[in-house]
Amino acid sequence: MFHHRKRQRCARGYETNDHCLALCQVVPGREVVIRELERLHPPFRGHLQSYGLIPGRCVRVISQTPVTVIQVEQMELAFEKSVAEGILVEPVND
Amino acid sequence: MAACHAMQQTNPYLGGRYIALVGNPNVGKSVLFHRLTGQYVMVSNYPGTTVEVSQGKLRKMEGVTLIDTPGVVSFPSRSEDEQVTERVLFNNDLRTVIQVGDAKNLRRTLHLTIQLAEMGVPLILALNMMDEARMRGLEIRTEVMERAFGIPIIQTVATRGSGIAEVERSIRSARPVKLEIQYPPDVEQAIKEIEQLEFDPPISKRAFSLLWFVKDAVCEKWVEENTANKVQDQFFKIRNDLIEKYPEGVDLLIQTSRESFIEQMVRDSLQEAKNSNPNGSRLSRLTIHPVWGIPILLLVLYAMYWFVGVFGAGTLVGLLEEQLFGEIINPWLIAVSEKIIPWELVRNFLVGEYGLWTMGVTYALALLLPIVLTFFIAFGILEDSGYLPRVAVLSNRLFSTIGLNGQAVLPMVLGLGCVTMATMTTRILNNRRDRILVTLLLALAVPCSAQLGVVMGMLAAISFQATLIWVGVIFLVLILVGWLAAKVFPGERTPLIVELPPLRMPVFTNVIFKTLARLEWYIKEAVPLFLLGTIILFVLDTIHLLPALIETFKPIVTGWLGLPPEAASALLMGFLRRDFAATGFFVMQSQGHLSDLQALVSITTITLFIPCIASVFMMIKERGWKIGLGMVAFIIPFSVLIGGLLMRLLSGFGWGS
Repeated sequence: MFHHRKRQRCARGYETNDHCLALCQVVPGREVVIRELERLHPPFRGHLQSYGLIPGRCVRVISQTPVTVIQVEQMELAFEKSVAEGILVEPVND
Repeated sequence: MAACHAMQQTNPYLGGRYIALVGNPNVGKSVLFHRLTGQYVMVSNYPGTTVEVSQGKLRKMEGVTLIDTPGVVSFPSRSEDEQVTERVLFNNDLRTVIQVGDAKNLRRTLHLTIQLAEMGVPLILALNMMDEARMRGLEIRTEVMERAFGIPIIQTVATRGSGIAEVERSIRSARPVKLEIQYPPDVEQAIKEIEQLEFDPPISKRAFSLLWFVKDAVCEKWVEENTANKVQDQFFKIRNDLIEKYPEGVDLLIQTSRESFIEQMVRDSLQEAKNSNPNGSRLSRLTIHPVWGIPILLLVLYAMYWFVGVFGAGTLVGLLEEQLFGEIINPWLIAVSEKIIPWELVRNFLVGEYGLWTMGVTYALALLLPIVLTFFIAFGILEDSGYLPRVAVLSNRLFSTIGLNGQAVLPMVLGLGCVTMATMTTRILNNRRDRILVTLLLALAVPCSAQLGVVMGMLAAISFQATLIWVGVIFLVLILVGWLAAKVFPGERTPLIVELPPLRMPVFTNVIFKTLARLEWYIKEAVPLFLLGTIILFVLDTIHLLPALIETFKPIVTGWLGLPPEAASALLMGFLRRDFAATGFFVMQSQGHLSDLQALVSITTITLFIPCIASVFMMIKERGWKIGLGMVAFIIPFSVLIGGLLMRLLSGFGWGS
């Protein structure tokens, strides 16, 4: 329970402790692992899940303007900042 | 298990008459479709729906029809388009399913493979775009996957025809599949409970239960229609119990099990190169660049305008209408009919001022066909190049001001070709609210190519300033009505989530096939209406009813819009097709019956008018009676209102006098 709350705060307050941050904060070029999509409205979460965006999946951020673009496998997915804000990720250390 | 073996031996699917091509969007389904069917393609409504799917006879197999289904990301289906694909899979007359997969995105491909394999139909996987995968340093070995799924997997490059013969061979030998992935115990338990219920689903009970747990719409409808109330209650109870145990989502639970199965398979089958960048080219980056993306978009729009507006509406129409029809065919026909037809009435009916041939056919073939043809070619190229999703990204901010997202740009652009067809395309949008809003804006403020051709001609005859005013008014109305409608319709705005396929060189034959299919559809929808419109005009003219009608509409036409009374007959034709009305105004303008101000007011009014009878039918078909007719009831008075306001505003400024 405590763990859960801590993660939520991390996404909302954009704090970088606990190694997690919102996807919209990631600098283009970085690889990150998806940790949580629970803050997203269920239909949008389902939509992203169908593209394979589930916790544990590694993706690369390609750009952040005008929308967030990420690479999943060899596919590029674009979505608005409001969606990227709801996705919690953990950077992969090179 | 024993039952399964028995099933494999008898193969109940052997009698099926249909083979379905299923796959994610942008994986080359249509190209494979044309490779397998050759030339002959029928585009028709899929039974029970209004969605058009391509069907064609297989070249190598008598009596079997291949269905090209709309692209689906995965099940549960999210848009109406995806639901059609699912309905095809629920069809009892299915013989085999050919999944077309993108070799570059193996995980995503296999995710759909699992879902199809679980359904139990005979399945083949065509792993397409192998060339692109190799170029990105991916190496795929299919043996492990073939064994795990128990299906033939063929590596293909559909655009070059490689692997097609093997796909054709595998169709004959495909057998029903049995794939069982282990899900968490609670899910397995719930599956067992569903399997014990009394019902006879079109796909395996296991796959059906899994769809049921994730609240798939097509599956829910099937249960509602095909099971007894008592059984339905149990269906719901089993699902609710499961959902209660996993509040974070049963869908995620099921998907995670599938993903770990895939991960295992990918480990054995796929060698990935480090750091390969998917849409590596610079151009691909630039197309969605906040600054550079705009000039590229303008360049594309200009190229499209040049091809459709200048070449199609100018050069081709000039050749066909003025030279071929105007100087050769029509004079000859008129001369011949004067010799062989003794009755003046019949002669007038065929080749008179409102003649079936001289107006209806000439108009449809010589004036509209070149415009529509060039538009569909341009649109097909845009579609196949992968550029349209980038336009969705660029226009997202604009559409967000009217409560939509960038995805709406696709039907809107298609609407510039044919609003009726575009209304049908709104089903790619993911929720009902977006579909309603886009349908309204399409009907109100997006002029179709037929009308654009005429309108552009009229505007060119006035001044460039008039063009700017026209564009400004239409654009303002679009934004204003969109903004208001978004406020009025309940529901939240859906944020943009869109896949960006790599930019590709379109396959020439594919663009041609698509254009021909769309053209055939357009001719079937539109040409009969032109002929009907011509006949109505002829009858009104012959029995001298036009003056009476003109008198009736006089207060609106002359009083409010400030147009000459004869404009009423043109406006009346707008109920049939608004480009008909536009043509009427065009004729009046060229005869000097309209001042610049009147011409501008008339075309602005008619641009905002309902598109055509066919589009009204389509609106009703897609959105239902209440919404469809409600929109018509709004659009007609609204367009006249705006026309009148514009007239007052412009004459207040002394414009055009």
